[in-house]
Amino acid sequence: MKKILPVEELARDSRFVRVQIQEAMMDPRQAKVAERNTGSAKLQPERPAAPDRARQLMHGIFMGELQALEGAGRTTFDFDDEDVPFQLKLDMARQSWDESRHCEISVKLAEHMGTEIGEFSEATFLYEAACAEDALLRLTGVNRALEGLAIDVFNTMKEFGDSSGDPVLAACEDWMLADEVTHVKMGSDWLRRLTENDPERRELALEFQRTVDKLFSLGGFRGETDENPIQLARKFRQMAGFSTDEIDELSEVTVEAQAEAEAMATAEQQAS
Amino acid sequence: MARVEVTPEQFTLVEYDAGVIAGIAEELASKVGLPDDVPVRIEIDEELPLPLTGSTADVVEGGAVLWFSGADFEDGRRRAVFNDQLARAELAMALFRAGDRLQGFADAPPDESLSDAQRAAWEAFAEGRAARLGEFARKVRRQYVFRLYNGFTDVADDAFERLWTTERFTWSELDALCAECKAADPRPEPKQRSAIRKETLRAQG
Repeated sequence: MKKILPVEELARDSRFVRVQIQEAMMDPRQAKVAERNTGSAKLQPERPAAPDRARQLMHGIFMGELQALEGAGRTTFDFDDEDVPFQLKLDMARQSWDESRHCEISVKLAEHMGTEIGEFSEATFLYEAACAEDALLRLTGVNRALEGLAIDVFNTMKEFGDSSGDPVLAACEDWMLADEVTHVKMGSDWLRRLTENDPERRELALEFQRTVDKLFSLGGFRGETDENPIQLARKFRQMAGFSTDEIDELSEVTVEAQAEAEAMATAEQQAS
Repeated sequence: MARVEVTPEQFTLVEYDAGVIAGIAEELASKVGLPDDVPVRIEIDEELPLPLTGSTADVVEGGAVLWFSGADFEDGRRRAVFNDQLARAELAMALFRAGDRLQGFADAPPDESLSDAQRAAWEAFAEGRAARLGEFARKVRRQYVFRLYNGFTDVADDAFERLWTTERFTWSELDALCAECKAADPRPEPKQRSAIRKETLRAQG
């Protein structure tokens, strides 16, 4: 069986339509909306268009879970015992089991909110971050960056479930959040172990993580202000092995990502 | 057949066709029972993408005045592309609501002044009727919105079923149903309204 499966070969049926994340960021409507008062982007029941914001995010979570399953599954298979410790592969197998359960939960939650699978487009940048040929980079890209984003997303969605009084959403997100903390902790622990005597390699891996984190901040999608739909979950990140300095640094990355996206959108608008 | 006017006549940011939308609205206006002599003015704000959905349905000087976020008609899988099925569902719901204002809902406040709970209830009542006409309907989605604003309770679920399956309702009956749901809802009173409002979305300056 082929190792390092390219994103184009992921199995999808006709319900799924893929888009490039750049398409969304270059949509001329984004710059127009930025000039308006559409209320806070933070996900709260009283925010404008809250039900559809939540439905779209829930579908995005499902797609993310599917790609996380594919990514962890590939890591279990793509590396031989000479490349990585067997225990690491065992952790990835356990994570695949968790992710497949998350897929099932996410499908049911989407249905609970009146969303069909494939109702929204699929962006594949999550899986793309899971295609690094170096196991260490993959671990930081997937377990520290991607799963870190999952912590932020699940915590945001859980808070939305709590504030809207939706017991199903709140309970399911809480369960999945607990798993994600474990997944990030696995990444933090393995990063430490695999680079114990190689600080240069550790720095290289962390640099890759910073790049992926910036990509996952999606031009302001994640951050710590009311303008960010997804809030950085400091407490859970600390539980998952992130230091306060690392979280502060990530917070700065999210601000940079938002500023860059706004500059790109303005340039696009001026050019058109 | 109702006289329908769609603004803008030409869309520049989305792949929508004003003529197509007017055609759908004309067909649906007749289907939902809007009198032929009631003009229908539809304004679509093409600058608003998914998920910034929202709409209003009012009657001004005897005419139906409908406002939609462009997101209401947008295909979730293809950016800025018109989705005929969604457009039909949204237009049918708004036309039913405008028609209600001419009969039985004359004392309802204008759309900008409705609470989220009242709006969700009225939309459930409208979409349920559209479903019985054979139009595409989103019952679970509508129920989720209803629960979000009227409570995740058995009382709210019973109220939703009544709204979805009933052919006739008045504004005061609908308002009373929302009050019943509120009495059974353990959540604190919302601090503000949520739905995208035309006034708050106008471009500055």
